[in-house]
Amino acid sequence: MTHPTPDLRAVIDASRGGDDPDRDDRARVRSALITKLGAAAFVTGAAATTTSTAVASTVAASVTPYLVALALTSALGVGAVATWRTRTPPPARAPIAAPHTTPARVEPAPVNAPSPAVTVIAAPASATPVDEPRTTPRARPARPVGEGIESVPLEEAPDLVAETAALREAHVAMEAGDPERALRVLAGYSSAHRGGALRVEREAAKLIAQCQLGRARELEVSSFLTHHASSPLAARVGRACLR
Amino acid sequence: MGLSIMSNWLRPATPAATAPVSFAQIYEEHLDFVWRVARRLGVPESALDDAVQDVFLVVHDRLASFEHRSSMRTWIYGIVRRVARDHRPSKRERPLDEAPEAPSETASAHEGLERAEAKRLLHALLDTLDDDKREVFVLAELEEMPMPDVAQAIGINVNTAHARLRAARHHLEDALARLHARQTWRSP
Repeated sequence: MTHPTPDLRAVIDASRGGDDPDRDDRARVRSALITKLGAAAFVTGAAATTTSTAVASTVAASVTPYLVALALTSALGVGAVATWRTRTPPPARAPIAAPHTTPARVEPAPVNAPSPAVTVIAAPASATPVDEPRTTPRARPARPVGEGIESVPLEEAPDLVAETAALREAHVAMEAGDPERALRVLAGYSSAHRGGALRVEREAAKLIAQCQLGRARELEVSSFLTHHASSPLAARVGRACLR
Repeated sequence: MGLSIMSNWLRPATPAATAPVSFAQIYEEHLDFVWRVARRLGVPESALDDAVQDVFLVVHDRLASFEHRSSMRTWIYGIVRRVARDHRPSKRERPLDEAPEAPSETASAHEGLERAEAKRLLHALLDTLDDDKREVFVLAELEEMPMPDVAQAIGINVNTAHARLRAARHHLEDALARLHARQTWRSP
């Protein structure tokens, strides 16, 4: 087996880590998936797991997320979690065949009641330090599944839940042609919470709503586009504001 | 498809060896891999968010039917390559002339800049590969995945995977040498 020449090796080595997602990327993807799948998808625990021994039946697959959502709702007093699941089915997508799969066996799979000790994966902003060194996959020690998942006390989980709910409500309002309401929702959240894992997303949503109303300040828009030039959010803000 | 690959596909699952895995755990474990590989398979920066989301939506939908006949990473890669195909622009022959220049001494003064330049150069080089060679190179050389796993992920035999990797390296080395020659000629 030949090896790359030093020139090619230099290019490969120099670009190590360059294609990894950064903190903003992680927050954006996570937020979008929570919006599409519901927060229950990001809850770990007995009810959210799957094993090859018990391939989930159709019934179990559909019931389990509701049980988890219900548990979260009652434990945290946040009603939004359950309603996301019912109000926003995943968007229709072209079917993409997953490899190496066979049709799910129709076997009675155990439906485990959610454990009272619910673990929520920490928001990327806190789970992944900015300065975490990025090494090659081989150099990186093999991480057991589950490592990097931070147990968050139940009382801290509502921040991410509430932030995602606010963001989603703002987008729903904008899609419904009501950017005023989107701005009220975002302002309401910001006045009650400082920072947040999805701060950049909220800032983008605010600018888009302001642009829809023709109220955006040019300086704010250009500042956002400059600071987040490589982010897809910049493209969205640009589309809304630079027409 | 080689016999060894077929036997892997036909081998019954070994349930006892597998531990429960939740979607959340899979997401945390594989997000970086999905993001990197999608980008390196040619999904443009602007479509990367959507592509990565699509991958994990499929993972979420299909997780219950994953039978551990391959590794989770191999299974996820199968989804990534299909999604990437849908999200990347139609391929056109792009002369390496259009690619950014190789990292210069000035650029190397700043590590971040050097890496960004190297990344752009790497993507430009990858764009010159055909899809077959590109995915073997990405998995074997960049992701450093063991060759049997690469072969399984793509659905080819190991010898073919080795041959494609050799061909990909030759192609990229030639392209890089031409680029350096042009830069030398332009700046005597």
